[in-house]
Order: sequence, then structure tokens, then C-alpha cells
Amino acid sequence: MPRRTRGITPAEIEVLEQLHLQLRMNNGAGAEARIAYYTAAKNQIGQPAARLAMMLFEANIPINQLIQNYGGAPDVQNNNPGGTNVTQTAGGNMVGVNATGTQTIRDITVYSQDLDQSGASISAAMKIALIDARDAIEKSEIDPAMKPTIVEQFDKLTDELKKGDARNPGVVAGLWNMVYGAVKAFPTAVNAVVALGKLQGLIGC
Amino acid sequence: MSPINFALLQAEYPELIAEWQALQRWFTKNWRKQYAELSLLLRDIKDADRLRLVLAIDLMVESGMLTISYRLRSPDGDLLEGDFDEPDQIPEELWSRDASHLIPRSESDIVSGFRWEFADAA
Repeated sequence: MPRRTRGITPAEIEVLEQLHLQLRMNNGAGAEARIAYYTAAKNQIGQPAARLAMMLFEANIPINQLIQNYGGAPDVQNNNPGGTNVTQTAGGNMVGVNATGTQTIRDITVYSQDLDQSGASISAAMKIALIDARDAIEKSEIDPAMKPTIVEQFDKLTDELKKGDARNPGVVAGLWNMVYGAVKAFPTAVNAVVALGKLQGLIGC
Repeated sequence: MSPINFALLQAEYPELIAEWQALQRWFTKNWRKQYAELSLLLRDIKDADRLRLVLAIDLMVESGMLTISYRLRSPDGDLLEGDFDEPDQIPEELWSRDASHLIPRSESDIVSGFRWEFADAA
């Protein structure tokens, strides 16, 4: 992939992935959703990146294609003069998807332990609500193609909440909308919706 | 806005040579339009990688050779009057093409388009 003068950094990709997912989950092709997408992108990664993000979305470029090409080191070796088969891998962390195309989701026990270590940044009531919601999502009858992504976004929401007063309200709201909107789309995920409803009041969304 | 200069673009970004050549063919044929939507460019230019093409077009905007603007398309498919530099500048309502009624932004779609001057098609 070509080197750009300003590059697309992994941090920008991560923001775009979150916003892209939110847009797709909420059928966000209309003007209002796209304006919200642009504004959120501009606030987080700047106007030039937001402009490019809008173009990529309008062109229906899959976010995974962007991640595969830019989700790591800016330079990817494209040629192999001595061979015929080239495997391209981006260096660094692949956001959300590993090399085999599967997502690794933390076990609920590990999730709970991590939460216990968050100290005073998360209240006891919120910890219980987070664990209940996470557990309910994992046990719910959500399409297996969607569940890992939803759980991953829920974990990112948790990570943002752990920042306490330093949390970014826009990020919290965006991640919440993604998770809640996605879970609500499954009529069979009643328990997860109820658990998320209990969490909603505590996080102020 | 600077005139489009594909020789300069190819020199600065030689890794996008295929995309510059495809774009140059398109602009040579269509330069009189002086405005084109992104969807039209992507539909017309089939002999280039779509992602790389979008990146190339964005570089043209960054270089000042294209000016991007955003417009609303009504539910009926009409492009409404008014170009905006950023999507969040679009008002909540715009007049219909025949100026008979206001069309809410919430019922419309946003389209990206580009304007240019043209001095060098070679």
C-alpha cells in the first residue's frame, strides 16, 4: 500500500473502526448518521482524516480492508522479486481481528478480575452491572457472526469507563450506542437487553 | 485551488501510478464538467483498485487540485442547491429544486463531489 504524506495511523484506524461499526449497526447511511460519524471522526482524529473516512464509507470500502492495509506499520512490502506467492502482513496490532480472521474474547472470569483491579474509578454497583451485562451478552442468542464484535466493543466501553473522570463522554456514548443498538436488534437477546438497561442509568447514556 | 497536474502527482506519489493514469484518462475526457460526484468517478473508473483510487482522489484534495464539497440528495433523487465545505455545515432543511417546499436533511442523503480547474491533461 502506498505511503501517504500524513499516513493513516493505527490510532485513526481504531477510531474509524468503532465509528464505522456504529454506522453499519444502526443502518447509518442517512445524512444525520453520516454527519454524526463525520463530526465524531473530526473531533477525534482531525478534519483531513474525517474527510477521508467519509469518502471511504461512501465508496463502500470495507473497514477490514483498511485495517489489513493500514492497521500496523505504514510501510508494507508489496513486491517479492524472487517469488510468485506473497503473503502480506501488516506489522503491529491488528485492530479487532487477528491473522486467522477470528477474534479473541476475554473470558468472563478474566474480565471480572480486570474490573476488580480498576479501583475507585468504577463503583461497586457499576462493576456488578458491567459483569451482569457482559455475562448476559455472552449467554444470549445473538448471531455468532456478531457476538464477538459486540463483546469486543463492550470491553472497549469498559476500558473507557475505567478511566474514571478522564473518560471521554463521546467515546462512551458512541460505544454504548453500538453495543446497545446491536443487542436490541436480536429479539432473542431479552436478558442482555435487560442487563444493559440496568447499566445504562449508571453510565449516564 | 491549483490546476490539476498529473505529472506532479505521479512524481510525488509514484506508487499510485495506475490510479493517476486512470484518473488522467477520466479527467481528459470529462474536464469540461468541472464537477463530479465521488460515486460517478468510482463508477466510471473501473480499471483501478477502489481503495487506492479513493486515496488518490483524497490526495488530489489535499494537494489543492480538487475541492471537495457536500450536497444533499432528496428522497426523490434530486441534488439540492447548496455546496458545503463540510457535512456538518449542511442546514437542517434545504429548498426543493422547484423551491416549492423545504426538504429535511434527515430524509436526505449526503453526496461528496469535487470541483476543479483544468490546465494540464498530459
